[in-house]
Amino acid sequence: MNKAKLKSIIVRFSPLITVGVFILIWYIAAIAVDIELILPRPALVFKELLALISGKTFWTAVGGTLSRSFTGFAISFALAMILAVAGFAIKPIHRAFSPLVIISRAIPTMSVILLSLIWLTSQTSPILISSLIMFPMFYSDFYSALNNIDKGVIDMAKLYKVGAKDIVTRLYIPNILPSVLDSVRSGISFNVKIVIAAEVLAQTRQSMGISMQISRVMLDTASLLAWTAAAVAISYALELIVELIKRFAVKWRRA
Amino acid sequence: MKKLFVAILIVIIAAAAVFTFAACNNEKGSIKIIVPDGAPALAIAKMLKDKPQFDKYEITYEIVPGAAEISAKIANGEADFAIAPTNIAANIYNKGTDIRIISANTFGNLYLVGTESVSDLSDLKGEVVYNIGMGGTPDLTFKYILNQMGIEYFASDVADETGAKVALHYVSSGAELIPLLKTGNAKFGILGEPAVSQALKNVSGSIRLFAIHDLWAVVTEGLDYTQAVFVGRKDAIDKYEGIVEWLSDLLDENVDWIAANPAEAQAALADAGSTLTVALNKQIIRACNIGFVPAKYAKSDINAYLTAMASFNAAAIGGKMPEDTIYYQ
Amino acid sequence: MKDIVLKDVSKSYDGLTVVEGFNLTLEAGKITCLLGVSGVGKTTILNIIGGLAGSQGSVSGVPERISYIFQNPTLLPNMTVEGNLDFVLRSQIKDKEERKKIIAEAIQNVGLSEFAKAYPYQLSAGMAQRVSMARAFVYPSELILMDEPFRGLDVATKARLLEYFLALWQKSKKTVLLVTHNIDEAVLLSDKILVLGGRPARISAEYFLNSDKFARKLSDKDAAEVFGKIYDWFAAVTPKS
Repeated sequence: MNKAKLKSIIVRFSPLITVGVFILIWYIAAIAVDIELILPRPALVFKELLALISGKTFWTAVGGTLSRSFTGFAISFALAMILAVAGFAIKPIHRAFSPLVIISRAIPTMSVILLSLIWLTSQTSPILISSLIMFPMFYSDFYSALNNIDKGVIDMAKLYKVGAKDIVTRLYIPNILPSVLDSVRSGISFNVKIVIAAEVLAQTRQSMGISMQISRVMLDTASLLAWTAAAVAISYALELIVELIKRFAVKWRRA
Repeated sequence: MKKLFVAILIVIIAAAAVFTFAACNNEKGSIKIIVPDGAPALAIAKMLKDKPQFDKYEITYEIVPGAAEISAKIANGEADFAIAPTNIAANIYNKGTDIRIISANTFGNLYLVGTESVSDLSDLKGEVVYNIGMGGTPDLTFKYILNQMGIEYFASDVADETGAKVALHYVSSGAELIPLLKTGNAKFGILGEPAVSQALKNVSGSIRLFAIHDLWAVVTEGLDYTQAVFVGRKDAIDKYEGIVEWLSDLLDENVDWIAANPAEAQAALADAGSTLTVALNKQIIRACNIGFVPAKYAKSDINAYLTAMASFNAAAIGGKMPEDTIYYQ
Repeated sequence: MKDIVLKDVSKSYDGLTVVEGFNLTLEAGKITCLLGVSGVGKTTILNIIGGLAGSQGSVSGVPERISYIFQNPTLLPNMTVEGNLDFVLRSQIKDKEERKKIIAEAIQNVGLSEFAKAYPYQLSAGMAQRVSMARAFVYPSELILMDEPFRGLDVATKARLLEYFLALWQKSKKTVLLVTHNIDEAVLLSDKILVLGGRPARISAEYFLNSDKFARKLSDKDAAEVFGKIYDWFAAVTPKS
């Protein structure tokens, strides 16, 4: 095997190598600290993870968290899209809503979580939180996406008297799709993270958040880390799905 | 290629060194005693005020925010002695930290309060009872009591319409529960003193319905509800000869002192950094149920408590009942 | 197809009078060129004809459908060459098969049959402009308005584009208005060249070229003469700053 080929193989697998190094560092640190409560060894966490996956409560918790995440995502996506389109079509609307967007972007996540606990139930407050956090991100991304469409192309469509339906389905939607999907991809995993945080404080039944909290209360650090690993894996899987959707739906750009 | 390999090796070694360094912190000259904020801190109130020193050794007394800090600091050796929730003590021991339970010090500060009067626990069927912390010891204790009394329960924020079961709902802190009682969203809730007295003061029409430790005594035929214990690391106990007896005396005399001097006790806690805002008086101190029972006498009550907790989730006490060696002889 | 006539047209922007009492005739089926330096007002006149800008005076004969060719090819990045042409034809020609046929023919006329399914990011600037031209001709319009469509292209690319343009135009002979500051395109494409100058803009000279556009070369006697005269005029008039 010559040098160039070896190099290309290493480059191809470099993400895996990084993960391997990370686990190695973890292992060394766990041995050094040698207190299971504080830093359990990777093998133990892995064992916990397998035990979790084979139980039913794991899947109900994951299902709960995911359904809350999706609901929050759907709400903020729809709201952001409607307002972005309205703001793009009618500039005064964009200006009118910008303070709202700024506030929702600036408000500390913890404030939102604590406030929503006062107003909503333990099962619904994570949904509000996820919508509130995601909304400003989506709104500014969608608005930029619309603004970044070549105005010359939009003018051309109007000059050639192209029908409104075609302008929306063949011009606007395909051209904002790459940005929208990028935004969705980073939003979706961030969303799961936030929902889990909210679930901890809201004591949401059948959630990954409360499962992590219970592990913590039981001083079961290995289990806590196993849940964390599961959350990471789920986020990654969601991002991957969105990426695949993007590859499938957007063929007209050099990747 | 070689450079890349060397670079990776350096990163690994550097990271491992950082972690080892962080874990290595046993070079301290003084003895540290820690206690969770809230009612358990009262167990060492006089010590927080007087800061007595043992022999030629300096002792620092510290209030930490919660049980998580207690377990972490005892486990990694930063603290030598602590008041810890009983199940946490067993948990740490089972997970490999060699500690000894020296005494039982709090005997139940949990109370069921409500904005409606009930005469019997079974009257709670068809109602929603709020508790703090799903899966925590107040939760497991209440469930144990309900089980022993043959009262069915389920998790929900909506009451059982058929009136056959008790609905259990959770919030993450007492501070959340009080406004809910006030607005009527919650009718019944389990709180710990001194938050209970605060609730009774702020929520008009609220009454103290049951003491959880009294219910416990009923279903266990007379046992103490040994909620928190005083523990010490074995290596500290061995190193400082005579310290256990010395500390035990201090803990014992503290019980009467706080009962007689509530204002001073409160000042001692505040000076040590406690975030308690409720004004303590003799009744509240009494309701906090601080006491002192040496381990060898409290053993059977503690074992009963641990067994009950473990019957729901062995992980609560660290997987199994600890061996007898956990009790200081 | 009717002649397009501007009579006594005036237009001002922000107090600046661009044109005043302006008269212009675009003969049906002929290529007319408005030649002038940047900023003289030729785009304004184009916009007035296209109905994109209002004006005082009379504008008549403008057809309902107009094709446009700009410097920016304005192709939809998310569609193939075929798709781009289809995009403007969909609402005009309902029969799918007929559309396909027309589009395929137009693409062939600009020499891009091999790239029929290519996306704009795969095309060069010249090729993109060819698609834009094909689109302009395939659209059922009677007038094509072109605003500096060959700007920024090198001579070789431009020469080929002019050939393709004429090839397309030969099949349909629509009325064309070419707005530019390049004398070479004006001479090679037009039947009539109107030289614009001054403020407000006025037609300072009119040149007619009767030779067959398809055989026309810049080195031809009449073409070269017109080129030279226009060039000299600009050189003399343009301030030496």
